[in-house]
Amino acid sequence: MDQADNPVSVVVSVADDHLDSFAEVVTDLRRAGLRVDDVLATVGMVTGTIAADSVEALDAVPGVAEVECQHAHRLPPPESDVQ
Amino acid sequence: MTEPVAGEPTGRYLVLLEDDAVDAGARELNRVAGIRALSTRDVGPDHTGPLIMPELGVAVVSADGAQLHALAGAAAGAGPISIVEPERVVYALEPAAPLVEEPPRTADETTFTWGLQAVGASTSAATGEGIRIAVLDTGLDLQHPDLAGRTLVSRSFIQGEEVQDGHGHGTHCIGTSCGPRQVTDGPGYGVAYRAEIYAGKVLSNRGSGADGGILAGIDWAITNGCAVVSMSLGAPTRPGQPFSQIYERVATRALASGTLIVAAAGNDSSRSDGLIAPLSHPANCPSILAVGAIDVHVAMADFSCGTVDHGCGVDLVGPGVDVHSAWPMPQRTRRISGTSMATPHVAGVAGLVAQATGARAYELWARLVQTAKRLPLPSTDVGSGLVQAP
Repeated sequence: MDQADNPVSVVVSVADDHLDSFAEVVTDLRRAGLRVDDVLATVGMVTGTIAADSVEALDAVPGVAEVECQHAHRLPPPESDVQ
Repeated sequence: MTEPVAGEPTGRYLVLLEDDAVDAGARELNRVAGIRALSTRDVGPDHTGPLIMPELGVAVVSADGAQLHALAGAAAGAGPISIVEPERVVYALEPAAPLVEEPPRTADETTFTWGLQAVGASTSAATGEGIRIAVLDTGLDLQHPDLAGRTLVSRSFIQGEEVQDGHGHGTHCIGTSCGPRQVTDGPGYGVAYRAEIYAGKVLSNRGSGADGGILAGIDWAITNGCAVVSMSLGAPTRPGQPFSQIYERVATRALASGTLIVAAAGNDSSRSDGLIAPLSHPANCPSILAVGAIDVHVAMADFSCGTVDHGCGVDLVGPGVDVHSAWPMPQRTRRISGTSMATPHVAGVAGLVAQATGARAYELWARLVQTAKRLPLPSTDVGSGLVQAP
């Protein structure tokens, strides 16, 4: 399978000077290929998934400050002494 | 006299000579004040008269009032004598005395956990009343008897899972930050025992989650006016790995909204093997307060991550070894270790400080580090020290 077919989970931050037009930025992100999971208006972030080869397109959306791949967080199992 | 400096004087004076002017300086001392200083190269350690240390370009001399006046005049003008000031008595520094009382080898946990005692919550008048503390974790045992009757708002950010804690980690963390300070059997273990609990489930019952859910939880906490967000979670980082610009931006926006984010430093060190691992993501963000772990002896927890990269430092430590707190029923309580356990101690104390002072965000951060108990341990491991309740 082509790597580009693998969707990646990303977080997109909206720049301070575009928070007033947050909804428009979200619309533009969708147009750029982002399948939106969450629109986090208070912190000015959008989470979602996108094809790996389209991530760079998000950077070009006006009002986008940063695009980062999501990290996985994993706790030890409940029986572990150190958590 | 040039540049008089306070301090207990010896009655002698230090004369600083201009660079490479030792011989000229010796002649000048004799010419203006009649002082014949000998070089340390020419005399033994028993010599008590005027002395010149040629490597330093400094003379040590005794002088009466007239001589001192002459030396000061020479220092004020051009010439090889640069500065004259009193020699001061200095003392050998004592070996560092322990700044922290030697803790008992085994803490008495009859009434309170050692952690509550170590952070001073056991004697604090603050309760956390009126303060909202969000704990973003594996959820909460909503039927836990030790939290019965508490103001509780909860939400799951894990698809297909309820808030009910199927892991235990979240219940333990909420127990420490917001649980009871008095229980019927066993020690009290909760710091901010009247705070309003905001339990956000951002880690699944299997203990896993992703940034998307965590950021959604932070967004929810800020929207609900939580003064503190406690995050006993993280992903390991490599030395030199840059912190997340996104989380940094979120943290600064949270602070601008009055919300302080506290996160676990991480458990990736193996100090007994000489390994100190860098702070986990997102605790490594400068604007997130990173919490390391100490044990009952006020020693670093073996696993506690440390400051490896400049700008990504440990800010405070909390009790994080052998911590007794809530666990989903029927077990009720359990002892576990981790920076995950240290973090809710700090979050709970932050709730107490927020209540007691009205401080939020950067001011709350400042008060926490200002009042922390300094520890005789590297700042790279403990930051400003052990968090203390007001």
